[in-house]
Amino acid sequence: MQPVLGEGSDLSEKTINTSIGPPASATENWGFANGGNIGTRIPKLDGPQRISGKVSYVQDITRPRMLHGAILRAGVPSARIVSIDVSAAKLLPGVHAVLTAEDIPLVPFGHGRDNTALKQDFVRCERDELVAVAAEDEVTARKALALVKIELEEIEPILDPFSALEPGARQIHPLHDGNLVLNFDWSGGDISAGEAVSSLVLEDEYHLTWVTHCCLGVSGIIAEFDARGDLLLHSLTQVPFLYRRDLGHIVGLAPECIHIVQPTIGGGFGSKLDIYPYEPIAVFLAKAAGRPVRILFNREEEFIASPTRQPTVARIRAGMDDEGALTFREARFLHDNGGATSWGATTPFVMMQTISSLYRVPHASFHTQAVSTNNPYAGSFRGYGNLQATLAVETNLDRLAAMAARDPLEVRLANAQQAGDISSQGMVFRSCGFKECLRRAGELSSWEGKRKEWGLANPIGASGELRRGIGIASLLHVGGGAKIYRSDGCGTRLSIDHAGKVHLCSGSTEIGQGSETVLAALVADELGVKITDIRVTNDDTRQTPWDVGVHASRTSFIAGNSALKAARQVRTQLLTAASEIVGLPPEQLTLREGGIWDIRTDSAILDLGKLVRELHFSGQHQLVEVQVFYEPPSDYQDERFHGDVSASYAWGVQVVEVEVDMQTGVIQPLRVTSVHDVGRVLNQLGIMGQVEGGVAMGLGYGLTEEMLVRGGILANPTFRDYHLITAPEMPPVQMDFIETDDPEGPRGAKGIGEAPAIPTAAALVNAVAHATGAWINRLPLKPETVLAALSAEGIDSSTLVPPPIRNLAPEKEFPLPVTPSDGAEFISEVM
Amino acid sequence: MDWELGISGYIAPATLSAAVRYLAESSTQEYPPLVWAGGTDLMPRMRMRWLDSPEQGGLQSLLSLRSVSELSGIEVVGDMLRIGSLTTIEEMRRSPLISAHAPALAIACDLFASFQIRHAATLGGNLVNASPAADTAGPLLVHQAVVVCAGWRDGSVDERHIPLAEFWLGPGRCALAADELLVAVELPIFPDSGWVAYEKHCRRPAKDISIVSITLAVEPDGDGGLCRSSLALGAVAPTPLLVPQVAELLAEGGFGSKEGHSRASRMAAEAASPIDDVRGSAAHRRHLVEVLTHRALDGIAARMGYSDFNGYEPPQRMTITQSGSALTNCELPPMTPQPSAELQEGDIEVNFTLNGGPMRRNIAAGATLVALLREDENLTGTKIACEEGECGACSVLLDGRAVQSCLTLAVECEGREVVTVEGVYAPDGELHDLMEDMLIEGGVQCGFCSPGMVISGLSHFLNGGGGGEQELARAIEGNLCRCTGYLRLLSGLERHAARLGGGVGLE
Ligand SMILES: Cc1cc2nc3c(=O)[nH]c(=O)nc-3n(C[C@H](O)[C@H](O)[C@H](O)COP(=O)(O)OP(=O)(O)OC[C@H]3O[C@@H](n4cnc5c(N)ncnc54)[C@H](O)[C@@H]3O)c2cc1C
Ligand code: FES
Ligand code: FES
Repeated sequence: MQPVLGEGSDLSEKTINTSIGPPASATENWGFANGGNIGTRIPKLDGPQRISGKVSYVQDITRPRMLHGAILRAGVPSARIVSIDVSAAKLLPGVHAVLTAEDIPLVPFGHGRDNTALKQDFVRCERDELVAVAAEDEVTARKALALVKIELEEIEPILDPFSALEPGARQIHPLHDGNLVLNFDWSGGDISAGEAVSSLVLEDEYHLTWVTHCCLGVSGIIAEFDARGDLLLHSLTQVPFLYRRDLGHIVGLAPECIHIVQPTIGGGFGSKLDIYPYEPIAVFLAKAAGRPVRILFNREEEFIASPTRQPTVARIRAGMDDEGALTFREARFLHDNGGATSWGATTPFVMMQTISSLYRVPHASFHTQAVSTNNPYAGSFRGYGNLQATLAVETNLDRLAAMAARDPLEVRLANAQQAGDISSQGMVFRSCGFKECLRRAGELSSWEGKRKEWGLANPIGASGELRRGIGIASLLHVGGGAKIYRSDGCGTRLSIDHAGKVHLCSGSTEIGQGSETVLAALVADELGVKITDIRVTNDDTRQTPWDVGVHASRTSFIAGNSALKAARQVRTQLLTAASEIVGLPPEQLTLREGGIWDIRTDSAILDLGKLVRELHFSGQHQLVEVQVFYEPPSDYQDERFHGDVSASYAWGVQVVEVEVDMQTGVIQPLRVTSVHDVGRVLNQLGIMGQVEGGVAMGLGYGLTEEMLVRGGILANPTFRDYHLITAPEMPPVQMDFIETDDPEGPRGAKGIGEAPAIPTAAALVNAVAHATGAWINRLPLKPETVLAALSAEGIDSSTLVPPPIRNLAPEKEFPLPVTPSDGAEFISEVM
Repeated sequence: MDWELGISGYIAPATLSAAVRYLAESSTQEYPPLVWAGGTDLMPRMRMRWLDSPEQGGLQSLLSLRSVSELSGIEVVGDMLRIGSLTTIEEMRRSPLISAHAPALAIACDLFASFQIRHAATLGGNLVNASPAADTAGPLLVHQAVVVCAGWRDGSVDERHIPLAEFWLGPGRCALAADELLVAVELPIFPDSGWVAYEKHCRRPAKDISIVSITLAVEPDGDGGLCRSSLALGAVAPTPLLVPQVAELLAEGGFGSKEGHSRASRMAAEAASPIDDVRGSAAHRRHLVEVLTHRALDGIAARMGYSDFNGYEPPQRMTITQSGSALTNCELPPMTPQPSAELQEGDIEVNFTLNGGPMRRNIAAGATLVALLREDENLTGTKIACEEGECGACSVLLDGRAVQSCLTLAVECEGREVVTVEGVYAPDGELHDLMEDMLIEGGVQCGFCSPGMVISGLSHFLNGGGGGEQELARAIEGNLCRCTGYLRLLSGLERHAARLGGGVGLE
């Protein structure tokens, strides 16, 4: 019964971290950090409340007289709505409101303005909302829905983008031009010039399917009206200010009449960027019932009715010259846009950055079409299209390297961007640690040795069923926000009260990523106070200043700069005031340990609270309070997608090592190495968590996760059959950070939130190819898929020489761009 | 909770005779009683049924087996091993008797779901549920188990024995009559010289339903030959499948040669009649049967010293052993015996200890523990993220063992001790050491999974768990986290293991 520490336990192996020091206790780390908090291991400031279950997520909040809402969904992918009879549901005791499309204003919303809260006339995908009820409890609400009689006339669904684009295909949504919803066209240079100097050309096609966020906390909202008629929403949105405006438009309220309180959020990953129908539905129900209404999904509903990653067919053609330099790259992506257009349709904006700018490619082009089908529709998801683009670019590059008999790491080094480069899309790489990331990842993973000793030619085990492989992939992502709105800024209000305690009010939202802790640490270091003496408010639109939202890995960078700017102003204000009081020049004073210190004598001379009280009550009658707005020095891209869209760019490299069972197709990830140019590490613990969490998500994308959409219907809406990575499957992750000290970043840092999830699947595919000789062009790499690829190439466990590389693209015609690009319109639309 | 387990009455008899008598008296009703053991199959099934057609609820009564003492216990009777049907998977996993005398079963229990499920799931439930993928099925088949069933006939308990190979009739159907209970499973003691091979082939090490499973038992005759072998396959036919043809072939000299093993493996694949489903295609399953059968034969032959297979060790997750698992040095402390209950209708009074204090309430018999905690007691630290037993966010300690409160009926906690995350704190009321350790290592991001992680961690340490890497990872394999990638959590647990060194308490 004695718990024992396993002898020879090598857990430390699991997270070898070369640049990171040993942990201290939480209380120690939250003390006065005279060397500064930034760069140390800072435990999450609100961690104690979270880990002990004391914080309230939306599922934990109830409001007086609150009713429970529920939604009836179509359950078929395509139909004409013949009739909906809700009379029996209305009569059920305990039911307070029953709504159909007849009962509400049908204001179109979503990026394509092709969605409404409840659907009228037509069903375009499985999840489509037909009826909503509010009742005394959830059970009654479900029972009421069971009493609704719906007559649907099913229509043959369109289930893939190719058939949706065929001439004469049924038009799914009257609003669009045929079934083409959006297309993005970008080109830089002259592809044929690139082809002319190529000694190798390779064309590949990749098939990437639906995956979804699986936030542990399911979606939910509480809507209620106060006595004045203002709307109070407990909402999980990660873009509160834009949300207020857009939701107001749908429900007919001015933004200032909407007060948003964000409960603790049980995971975001991009899923809360859009408005989804259940949100206005809750408002309409609250209005109809005259009582607060909460809608909470259950897990099946979360799977069926939340956003997904954009499924993509990616065609890529690229060339290389005799020196191993990339000569051109031509990419055409076809997106299954599903039954409605959310922000997910704009992912090509990010995809093209990887196509054009991850490496120096003299000539490149990118065409994307997002096409209506009767499948689920996508939204934004960590990486925002970059996982798909990176997979295509990085595996295609590895294959070119293999054709040229060059080492994949060498090829990447030879083509990598460098500091000072300006990409063909006009992105300016002021700081760039890409090459250092490549070299360091190679070192840490013992790349050279394993490339030689492993691989198809070197069977493992007594009967040789196993092979090992090592693969690499890189990433480029915005690291200093992304200017896709008129402003990419964030406001901060910072004050110090009469007790010397700091109040930090930031427009940015905490969705679990740890921004609150980083912001507090930045401020604490400027003001010389304990991080625990800072109260952060970031969840209430009545108090917080404007911010564009949590996305594009921007929070640490933008909100961090904003907080820093505020803290510096407060610091100056305090030192100037103190100098007058103590009669010493401000340069001789500093802020330390919650007080004013004399630098020369290295001693405390005035308590912070005392100083502030002095300012309040004596002659000055002054509050210590500033408000600032930080706007990054980035540009809007023009209609040709040209412009320096981010204030800084993040680079990273991952190496994945695998063992593959050649007879069962099972892949065992052995280790992941992740090296990132983060500008500067702000919080070691935070960044480790982001990297490991990202790797887990990337591995899920590559290995296990898949929404099985069959005939437009999700066949596996449960955790039983949708497989997230679990603890025993998680390989060790070793990581390191290249600190390029970004000139614009807060204390030199760049954003890192999305980056670690981006290249994992690509590195995995490359590692499996090294191990087996087979290139697999569809995810996830399920055992069956692996075996099918092996047998297609005629490889079995006795094969020692990989087959020659051939195009992975079928002969089939890929749809050509049909109209001039309208993708750029999405930028102006949000203005 | 957006569903209810509508139940019209509740009874928890103290004896087998009372239980089967009640069954006999009520089994002719239009809606016969629902026999409730661990509830891990029943609860998700009832939930799906209710969500599909909510008007169905409220027609059945529930017969709880919780207090029927004749159904528990693992013992050796003569040359037979007898396992009571109410024995939980975790109890079997840690039993020295099972490890020694039914090694294949011991391994299967080790690779069965997660701690939370194993603490609740019973042997009887696994067999009566009659899933072709049931994990105890293959091992019990190769161990030649016989099922003991009991009914009420002519005024007394009537037992009958059914060989396990004849027990299952199809998916979800078995030979148990509507008025019978499964009492125990009996199997001959497996010889010390015998070998077993087992693989549960699925995506994740244990958590998933198997795509295929294979169990092979070989009893050497001491002269380099075999006196018996037996191969069982799971998830490749309407019922768990014995493949006697293979045993015959092996007995006729097929064992120990590459040729023989290849023929036997092909034969096994031909015997399988799998289907396509979300977990795998029929062709893939058949292929796996062939590959895994070959590996099992080769692996055992290597261990038995056949020179053709010198040094062969099967890859991946196949276990080959003579002596079951190595976990048997830490048997679980017993649970508190539970009082019986007369047949009651309407709300039922339930008494248990909640976070150290008495808890008494009248609740519906079908109310889940998580609903009681969150909705009636306002203890919202226990989270809901799936309601199907897959995520672990709703974990609580029940008599010191982690279980999922979404799969647990509140009435079934009668007389027990329930601890939620709110009941876990340091003596000074501050953060519990385990929480501090997890926090310092960065194990908390959005925090939604955190309370469940804390409960799983505590359950692990409270029940004799140590600090090895794999052991810790398995301690939280029943808990999903979407944010952290688990490694910070594991470091936190490792840190806690180091801090403990000795004993561990809740406070
Ligand atoms: C998340 C999750 C993971 C799982 N993983 C696995 C796994 O890895 N491997 C596996 O094999 N199974 C797995 N299962 C299925 C389930 O846990 C097992 O089948 C379990 O053994 C069922 O036992 P129980 O006591 O919970 O049964 P219950 O749900 O209580 O009952 C199941 C059925 O058996 C009947 N029954 C139970 N006991 C008796 C008795 N003594 N006499 C007559 N009838 C009886 C019930 O009436 C019911 O029809 C999993 C389930 C879940 C929810
Ligand atoms: S396991 Fe109970 S809610 Fe997921
Ligand atoms: S911390 Fe978010 S799910 Fe684990």
